[in-house]
Amino acid sequence: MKPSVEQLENLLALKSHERPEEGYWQDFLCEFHQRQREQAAEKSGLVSFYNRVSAWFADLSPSKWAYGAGLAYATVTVAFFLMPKGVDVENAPASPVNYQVVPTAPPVEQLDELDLSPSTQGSVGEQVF
Amino acid sequence: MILWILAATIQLVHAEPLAVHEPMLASYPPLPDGRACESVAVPVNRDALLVSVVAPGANPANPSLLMGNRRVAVRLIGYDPVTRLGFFQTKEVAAPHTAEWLDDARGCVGSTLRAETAGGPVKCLATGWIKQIGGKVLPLALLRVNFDRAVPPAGTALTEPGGRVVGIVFQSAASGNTGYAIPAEAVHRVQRDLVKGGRLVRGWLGLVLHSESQSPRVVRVLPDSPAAGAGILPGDVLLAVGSRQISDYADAANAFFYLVPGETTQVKLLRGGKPLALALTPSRPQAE
Repeated sequence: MKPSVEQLENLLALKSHERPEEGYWQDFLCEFHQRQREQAAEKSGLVSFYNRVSAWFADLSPSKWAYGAGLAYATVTVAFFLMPKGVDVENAPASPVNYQVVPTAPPVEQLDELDLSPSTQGSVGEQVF
Repeated sequence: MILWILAATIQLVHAEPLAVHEPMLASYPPLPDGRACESVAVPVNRDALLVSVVAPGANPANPSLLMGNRRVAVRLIGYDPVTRLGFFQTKEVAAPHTAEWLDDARGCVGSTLRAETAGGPVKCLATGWIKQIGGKVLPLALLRVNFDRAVPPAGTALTEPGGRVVGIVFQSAASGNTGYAIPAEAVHRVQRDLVKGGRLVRGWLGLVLHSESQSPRVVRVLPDSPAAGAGILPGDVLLAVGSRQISDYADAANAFFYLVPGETTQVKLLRGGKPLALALTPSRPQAE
């Protein structure tokens, strides 16, 4: 049996007043984002990383530069203070050796004349008197 | 009038030669680098014999004497290359201001002396003997003197409070107002030979010592030498030569400088831990 025109008009009037449940659109948006993240994670690493970096730089704003510089400064400062300093190492005591290096003394010269200039040379070794 | 002329003539004939009080400077030909070579000249006796110091590299053969602005000809008596002392005589200056000399300056260490400079006397102090400079042993020990002012020129006489000459300035030390002086006994030793024969003749013993040895130990004794004749043996340690005490090699070298050929000297030795005294008569060097 075919619906009458009056029945169809009543049905359309009823549908025009029909609304989704409370929170439907909020749930729909969350589900959409969740699926989007899952899809991105499934993509290969390098391409994904490149895409994310490209997107990050494309969306770069002065505030992000300020955040990045501040973060780098804080990192360097913390690293400076937390970096382990050199440990004072006590020298090991000199171990005794069987020989000793003695500096060679200049030879004693006998001057034949009273010439005290530095370039004067005398005779060394045995002297006959 | 006649009497006055006669008296003046007699006075002129018998007058003593004028004593020279102006500074006397011995001048030698310039050094090869062009520097002037001058030394204060000091009279050593009444025969107008003067002594001066000749700088290394200078030609001692042709000295002249500057007396104020006058250049006076002199006769070279002799030059000793060991001490660098030059002796000369002049006839144009009769009996220069004669200075008395000490025989021996060994007792002057610690005494206040006076340097007789052209600008007036300079106070100084004899502080000790220099027998070795660095690694070089001197042929004779020099007197070390600290002056109140700059070191006077070479040849300047140093006198003791009694006015007698203790020595003459040889040269300044490396720094400060310290200088070295040739002692009077060295001047006498050289003068004696130069006046007699024109050159210094050292006494020869035939002893061999090692310059690097800490003790004055005899290393060898040359055969047929005065030392061998006196009975000195290798290994003997010298304690004294004449009146000079010996404590090391440089002391021995200094003592040997004063030996005179033919003059017997007492030598004290240590042999096997026991002291020993021997009479030793040096000879002229074998090469002569």
